[in-house]
Amino acid sequence: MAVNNAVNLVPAISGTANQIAVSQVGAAATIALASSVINTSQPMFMAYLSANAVNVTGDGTVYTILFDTVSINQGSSYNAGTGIFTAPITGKYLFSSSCIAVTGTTRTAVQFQVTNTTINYLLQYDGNSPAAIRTETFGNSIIIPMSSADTSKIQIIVSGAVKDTTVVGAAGQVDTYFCGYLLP
Amino acid sequence: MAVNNSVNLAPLITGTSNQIQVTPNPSTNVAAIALTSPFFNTSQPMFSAFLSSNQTNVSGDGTVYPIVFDTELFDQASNYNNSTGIFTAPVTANYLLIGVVGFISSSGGTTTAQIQVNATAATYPLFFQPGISASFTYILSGSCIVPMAANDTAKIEFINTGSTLTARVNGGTGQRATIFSGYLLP
Repeated sequence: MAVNNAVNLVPAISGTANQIAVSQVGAAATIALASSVINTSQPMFMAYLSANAVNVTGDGTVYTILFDTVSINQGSSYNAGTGIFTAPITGKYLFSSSCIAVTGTTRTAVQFQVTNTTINYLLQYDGNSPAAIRTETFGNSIIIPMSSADTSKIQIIVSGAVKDTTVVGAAGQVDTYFCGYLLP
Repeated sequence: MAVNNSVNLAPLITGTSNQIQVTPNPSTNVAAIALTSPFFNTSQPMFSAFLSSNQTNVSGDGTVYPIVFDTELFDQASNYNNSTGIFTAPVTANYLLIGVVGFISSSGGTTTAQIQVNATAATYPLFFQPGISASFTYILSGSCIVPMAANDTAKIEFINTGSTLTARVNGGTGQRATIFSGYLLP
């Protein structure tokens, strides 16, 4: 059933079967809220790695991190078994991820990225060759457009001769995580 | 003129000439607005743009290089200028700004590199990296929430210091390594 408050409110509120629309009638319409907004249906997830993933890259292997422990999964769009988030609707999504990795002595470079269906968005890259075992953190945030059913996952690629890189996870603390949110 | 929907809606919805006001209903003292479906606003100022081609010899000697992210992924309210690399705040508010900068460091010696948000009121360092090796590839990244007044501007800058003007900022249309995103936080 439609609701139309256009007579009383200059910005118009109208309703359809599946949407409430607030549209501009006069000057620039804004919506001012005098209380917090909580939407438990907004697609949003947070997952982390609960144990070390040992010897997963280091030789150029593209490793998709399986963030296996879910602390938030509103909309159930993140799959802890595959590490893949699937966009439930077309929109703009904010992703943040951070990863602790222990790389070996043959390491030549580390690349950390979000893979959105077909496009890689690089979050961090270090081309140094430290020639020593080293523990580092890689991470950042990004806003990317996704169509419904597009997927995103986090990958780390450590180049070098030996597959000896460990991605650090722990049950007691969040070391390596992936979270995302449909921007309102 | 006020409209009182308190019988039907717990919060009070009122209207002025350019604003809809939603306040908790005093009789129920509802503190939050709960939505039961995904919510998004295609008018919310929000943009993301990347650099599509390499920019050679732009820093390395301490030159502050403002990056022009020339290809927009989206720009919902047309606040980002892909010819200048400048985002202009449409209204006074807090904005989430995110920068990712891929580069090949300058050709000589060990240097430092920094990426930063240069906004009208202040400059915000996003990432500082000492011990940069010569002619190596790096990606530095970071994010911050910046208070901006209407018409304030923000851009992303790259600085490689300690060598000569030989550093390159990496662009490309396949893998995207140099990206600037922003969002008006509701």
